[in-house]
Amino acid sequence: MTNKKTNELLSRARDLDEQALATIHDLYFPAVFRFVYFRFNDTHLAEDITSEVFVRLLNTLRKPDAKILNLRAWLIGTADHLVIDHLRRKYRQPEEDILGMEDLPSSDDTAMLTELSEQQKLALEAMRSLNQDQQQVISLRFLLECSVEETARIMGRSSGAVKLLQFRALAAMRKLLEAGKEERGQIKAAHPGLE
Amino acid sequence: MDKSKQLTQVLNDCLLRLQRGETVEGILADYPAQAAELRPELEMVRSLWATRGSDTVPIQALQRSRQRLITLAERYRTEPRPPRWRVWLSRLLRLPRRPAFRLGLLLPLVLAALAAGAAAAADSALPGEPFYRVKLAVEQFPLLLNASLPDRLALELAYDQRRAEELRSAMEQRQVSGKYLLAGRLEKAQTGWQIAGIPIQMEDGENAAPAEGDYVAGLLSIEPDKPTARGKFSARLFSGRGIVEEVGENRARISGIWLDLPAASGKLAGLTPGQTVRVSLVRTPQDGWLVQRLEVLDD
Repeated sequence: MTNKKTNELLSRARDLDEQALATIHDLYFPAVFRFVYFRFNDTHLAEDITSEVFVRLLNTLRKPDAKILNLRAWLIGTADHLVIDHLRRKYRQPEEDILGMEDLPSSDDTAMLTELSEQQKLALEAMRSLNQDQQQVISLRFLLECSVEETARIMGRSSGAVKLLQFRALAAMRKLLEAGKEERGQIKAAHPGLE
Repeated sequence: MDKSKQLTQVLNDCLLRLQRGETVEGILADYPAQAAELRPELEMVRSLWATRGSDTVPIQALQRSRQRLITLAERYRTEPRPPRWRVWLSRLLRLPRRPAFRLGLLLPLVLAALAAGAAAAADSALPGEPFYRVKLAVEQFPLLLNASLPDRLALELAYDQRRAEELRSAMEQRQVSGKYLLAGRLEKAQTGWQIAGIPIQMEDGENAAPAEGDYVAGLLSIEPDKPTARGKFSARLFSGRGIVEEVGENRARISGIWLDLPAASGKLAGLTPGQTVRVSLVRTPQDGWLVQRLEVLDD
């Protein structure tokens, strides 16, 4: 979508135009949802956070001096802040993991994951084991197809820093995948009957 | 370029080419030295890219979120917008989350509030009361800030009058003791002397005894059981600096004020308009100014 068209939509959304708000929402919901989902592997949480992102957009548009130069970058940046806030809260107040139920994906998650190949699932799992900055750079660059410049804008870093972070994140992912492969090989050797 | 930077650069080039649709094999053929290191990472990126289209965003989630947004917009549409001043005020009062920021913002505000409270309390303080010294200190600021000679002289005269009135009020309200500065015109009283209505007993000083109508200053000593306060008084000296504007017969206009300069003193010799001078003055009985000392600071 061109900048002009986005600005027109934003201007109408500022006046609480229902159609403009719905268009913005439907246009960007999938990207924001995916960005959050790939970080948590939880559709309910991804839905809550994504929905909150659009509520925040509406609240921001109501402020007289609010300026949104790049809507997609703004939405992803806000989603990232909410993801980090959620993780902080989770680390501060860890919930009881009753019988390990938390690790089980919901029915929606299962539906989504079944379409992924084994290699893709492993790649996503490895990504979720990275630190927050590394997860963010991988999500933005390879799941949302943001350019280096756009990623740098969202993350508030220089393009050079993003390239370096991306390099380190990929190296860390590769190590995690190699370690996982080795572990799976050992399990298979010990239990030849397992798939 | 070190190895890490070189690899970052190569990886970036490879990713761009992968994005353009080139195969992993084709790309790695151009980087045989780094091929072993790059292959797993490019494969991994290709896997991640492949996951983009593999998921479908739950349509119910999208609908619920859209409904929430539209409902909120409807609510905003029906409720009036807050006035602009309230928006600015709420923004002003909104504090950053970090405690250090809050402290950094609140501390100066609290200190300013305390200082303002102390200044307000000091404003009505009388000699002998706890805030009186604060009041005297606060009053020094306008004097320090006022560089112009007429303003300084006017302020000092006003302060002299205020001090005398405060001392008189304090003596009328309660028993006052201690030493206080007092300045003003020396007047004859029924028995002895008085300054601004405060009866005083003159002690002999090193200088010539002042006469009636002189503008004097001195340290007044008040003792609890003595009816009259005592002190050594001499001519009150005012000082300041200004620019010579005009030189006349036995007088000169400095920063808008005519100052008397007796010819016999020799201070007029060499004084020309434009010079910056520092002067020490006494108040004459006719409310004029007599130069006691004059120093030319520059030409």
